[in-house]
Amino acid sequence: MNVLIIEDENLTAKRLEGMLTKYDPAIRVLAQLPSVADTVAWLSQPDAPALDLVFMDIHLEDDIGFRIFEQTNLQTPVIFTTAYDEYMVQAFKVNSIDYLLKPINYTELVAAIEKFKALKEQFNSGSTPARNPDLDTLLQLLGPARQTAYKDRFMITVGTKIRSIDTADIAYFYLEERIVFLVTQDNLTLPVDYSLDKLAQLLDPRRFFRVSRQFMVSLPAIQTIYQFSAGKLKLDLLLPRPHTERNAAQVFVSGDRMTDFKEWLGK
Amino acid sequence: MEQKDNERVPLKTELAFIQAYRFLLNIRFGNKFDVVIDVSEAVQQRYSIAPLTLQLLVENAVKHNRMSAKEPLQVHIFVVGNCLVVQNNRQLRPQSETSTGVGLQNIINRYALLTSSPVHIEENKETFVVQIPLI
Repeated sequence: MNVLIIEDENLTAKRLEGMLTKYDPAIRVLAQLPSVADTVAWLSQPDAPALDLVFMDIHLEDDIGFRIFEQTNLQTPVIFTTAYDEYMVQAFKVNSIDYLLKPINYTELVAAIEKFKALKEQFNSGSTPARNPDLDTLLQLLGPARQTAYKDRFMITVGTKIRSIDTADIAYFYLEERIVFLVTQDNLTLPVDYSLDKLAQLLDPRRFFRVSRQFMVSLPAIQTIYQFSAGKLKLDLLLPRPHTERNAAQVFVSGDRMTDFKEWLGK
Repeated sequence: MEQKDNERVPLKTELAFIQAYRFLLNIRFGNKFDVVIDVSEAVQQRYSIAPLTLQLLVENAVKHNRMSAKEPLQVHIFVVGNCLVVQNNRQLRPQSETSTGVGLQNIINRYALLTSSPVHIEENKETFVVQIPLI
C-alpha cells in the first residue's frame, strides 16, 4: 500500500510512520509533505506515483489542508489526522475515510485503516453489495413481521392429558363467563387460555374473524348468512351435529363489524 | 499557573517560563520557528510584568503566521526605553477565519489596571510589534 503523509510537524510524521510500520511493514510512505504548496507540487508531477491512501494534517505550514482539494484533483481516500476538531464537518465534504484527533491512538489508527480496506473492497467489487447487513437489520426492526407463523395448533390440558388441536379443525371460538372456548368441527368444546383479542393476533386473519364481542368464527364454518334485521346479520355455522343447548347462542355479526365482515368474506 | 488579573510577576520569572515554552516549540517546529530574547539581567531583575503576557503573544504569532524551513517565523523580545517589545516577522496564514482579537484585548485590559502607560500595537506588511510598559 502506497501512502502519503501530509504533516508539518516532523516528529508527528515520524510517529505516524512508526505506527504504520508496526501495523504493516509493507506500507510504503512515499513522502512526507509539510505544506499545501509542497503537496500540490508533488501531486502535480507528471509521473506522480500511484497512491492508495493519504494521511492529512489540517494545520499545515502555509495553510489548511483543505486547500489541497481546491488546487488539485485529489481523489485518493484521506484519513485526517489533526489536533483540531472544528474541521470535521468540512472533512465530510471531501473523500474522507476517517478523522483522527492527535495524539493519534494506535488502535484508532488501525480501525481507520481497516475501514478504508473494507470500503475499498466494497467499491472494487463493482456493483453495489447484495447484502448490506446494517440495512437488513434496520428493515427488520422497522417493518412489519413478514413471515408470521400463525398459530396452527392449540395444546390444551384436559385433566391429566394434553390434547393437541389443529387450528384447521377449529370451527369457532366463543366467550362465556369470561372464559374463551374453542369448538371443533367435531363439536368438541375445549377451553383455551387466550382472550379473543389475543387470538386475533395469533390466528390467520384470513381464516378467522371476530364477528362480535363473543364470537370468532372461521370461514369454512360459515354455512349460511341471514339478513336478520337492518344492520345485523345472522350466521349459521356448519357443524356435523347441531348445537347443544349450551352453545346454541345465535351468532350475530354486530353492526359495527358489518363492513369489515363483508370485506373479509370478499377475500 | 494560577494568577489573578491584577497581579504581576517579575520579568525574570516570565522570561524563564518563555525559555521553557521556546524549548517545547523548538521540538515541535524545529528550525521553522524561534524566540530570541534580548533582555539584560539588570532589567529582568528590576521590572515586573502581567503574568503570561509573553506566552500569549508568542502563541498568537504561531497561530496566525506561516512558518517553514524556507520562511522561518521569529519572535524577538527586547527592551526599548521602559517598554518590553515583542516583535515578529509577518507571514499571515490565508485562513478564512479572522482573529477575534480577544487575546490582545485581554492584555490591554490587564495592563490598564496596572499602569497608566498604554500597550502599543503596531503592524505593517512585514512586522507585527507589541510594546508593553514595564512595571
